Amino acid sequence: MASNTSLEKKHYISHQTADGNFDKNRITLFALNEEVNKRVGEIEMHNKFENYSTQQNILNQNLNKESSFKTPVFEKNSQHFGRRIYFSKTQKWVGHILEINGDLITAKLNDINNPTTYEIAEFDVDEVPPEDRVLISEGAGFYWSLGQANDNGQIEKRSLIRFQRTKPWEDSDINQIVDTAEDLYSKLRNWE
Amino acid sequence: MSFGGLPNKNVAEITLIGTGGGYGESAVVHLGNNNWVVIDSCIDPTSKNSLPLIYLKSLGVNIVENVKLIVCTHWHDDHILGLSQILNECEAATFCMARPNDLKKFLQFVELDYKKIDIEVSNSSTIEFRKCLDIIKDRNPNKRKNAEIDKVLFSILINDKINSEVISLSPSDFTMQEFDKEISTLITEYGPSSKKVIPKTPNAKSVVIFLKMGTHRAMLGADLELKETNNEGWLNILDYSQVVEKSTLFKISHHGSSNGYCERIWTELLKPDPIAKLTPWNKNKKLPEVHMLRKYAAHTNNLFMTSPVFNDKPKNRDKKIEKIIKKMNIKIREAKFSMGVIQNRINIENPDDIWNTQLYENAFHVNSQIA
Repeated sequence: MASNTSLEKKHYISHQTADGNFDKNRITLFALNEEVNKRVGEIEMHNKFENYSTQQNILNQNLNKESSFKTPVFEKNSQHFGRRIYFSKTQKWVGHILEINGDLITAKLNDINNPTTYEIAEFDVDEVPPEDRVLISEGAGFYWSLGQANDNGQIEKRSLIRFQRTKPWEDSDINQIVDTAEDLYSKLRNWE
Repeated sequence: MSFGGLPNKNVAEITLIGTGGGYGESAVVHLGNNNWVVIDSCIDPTSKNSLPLIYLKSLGVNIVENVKLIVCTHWHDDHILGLSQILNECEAATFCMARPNDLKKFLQFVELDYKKIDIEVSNSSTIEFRKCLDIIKDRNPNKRKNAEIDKVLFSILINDKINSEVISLSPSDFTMQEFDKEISTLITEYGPSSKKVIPKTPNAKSVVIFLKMGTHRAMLGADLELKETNNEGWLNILDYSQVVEKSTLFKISHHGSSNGYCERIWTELLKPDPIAKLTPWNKNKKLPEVHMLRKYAAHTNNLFMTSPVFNDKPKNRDKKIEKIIKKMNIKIREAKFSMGVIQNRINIENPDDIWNTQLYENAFHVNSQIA
C-alpha cells in the first residue's frame, strides 16, 4: 500500500483482501465517504448553532471558554431540531448501462437484496443527478437505491442513482496487468 | 431432474439446454462409445451451477474421463457462464475456442478487464473466461485447440466401420484479423477502471460446429450471423467450406434472429424437414420474433424451442417497493429463469434411423403453437 494517510490506515483491516493485500479503491472510497460525512455533520452543526445564535444572540460570547458557553435550546418548530428522515423500505441495485438512445438509458440491474435473476431497466436521464450525468456512458456502473422515506412523518418515495467513481489506473496497476498477461502468454502460446 | 438415463454406446445424442434467455444456452453431445462433448455453458442464476454439468451428472456420465471436448463458441455471457466449472471437473477434456491471432494483446485485454474485479466492474464473461485460462494454462498444451474453418477438433472410431467427428466451420481468417484490430479498440474504450465491457461483435467470432456421427450429420449454429460479404459469417461457410454436408439436425443460430437467418442454409446445408431447435434471448432485445418463428416453421415441421418465456414484469418483491416502482417513470422487467431441454437421439449404426425427440421442463414444439 503506497499511501499512508491516517484515514486509510484506519480502514486497512476491514479492506484487507483474502490474499493479504489491501483494496485501494475501497479504502479510497471509504475514506472519501467518511470525509463527506464529517463535512455534512459540520454543516448540520453550523446550521444548528446559526439557528441558536440568531435566537439567543450569542455571537458575542467567547465560545472558546467552555464555562461561558450556553447549551443551545432549540425551539420545537425549528426546521433542524428533531428532524428525522429514515427509509422504511429500500430496494438497492448495482447496475451498468447497456444502451443509450437519446435520453433513454437501458441498464442491467443486479438486486443487492436478492442476487438471483437480474433485471433490465429503462429510465430517463432525468433520474440521474445532474452532477453524475457527465459519467453516463455505455458500460458505466452505478448504484441505485429506491425507497420510501419518512421525513418527519411525511411519507415520500425517493430514488437515488449514483455512478461509480473509481480512481484511474496507476502505473503499478498497468505493470501488474502486463506482467500477468505475459505470464499467461508464456503458458498458452502453444495453442494450435 | 431425470432425463432418461445414459444413451447406449451406439446411440448419438445432441441435447440443447436453454434458460429462458438471460442465463445462457449449451449443447451436450454424445458421439458414441461414451465420448461426450460440451458446447458452451449456462447457469441456474440462483445456485450459479452449470446446467450442462448437472445434466451430464444426472445421466450418470463419468465426467472426469468421458467428456473429451469442451468448446467455447464465443465469450458472450449467454454462452460462457459456468464453463470454468465444467473445465475444472472434466479433467480429460480438450478446450477449444477461436484463438485470436494476437494472443498476447488479447490476454492483456482479458487481464485489464479482470483487474476490475476488485471494484466489481469486470464483465462476468471475462471473469469466467479468465478462470478457464487459469485452468488450461497448467494442463497439457495438447489439450487446447484453435477453432477455424474446416478444422477437425475431435475424431473417434466407434467401431470398425464407423467414426464420429467434431469439425469447426468458423470463424473465418478475415474475422480473426478484424478481431485483432477490435481488441485495441476495446482496450481504449473499456480500459478505464469504471467501465464494464459491452462486447459488440463477438457473434462474428462464433464457432459453428459440424458433427459427423456415422452417416448422420448435424450442425450447431452458435450465434453466427449473416454478413454482407462472404469473407465472414454464414456466407463464408456456404461459399468456402469443403467439409460441410447436409444435416438432419440444426441448432438455429443467434436465437432465431433475422440477422442469423439465411435462406441458403436451409436449401444448401440442411436436408428437408430437419430437426431445428433454438433458445430464446431476453435481455435488451427479445428473440426470436414471431415473424421469424413463422419463417423457420415454414422450413420444417420439427421446430422446437427450450422455453417461451418473455417477461415484462419486475421481480416479485415487497408490495410497497413494487408500488414505488410502478409510480416512478422507470420500466423494469426481470430476465426470468426458465429452463428447457430438447434431447435428440439417433442410432449411429443405422443409417435409416431418424432423430427421436424428448422435451423436458419448459421446452415445446413451436409448429403446434403458431399454426
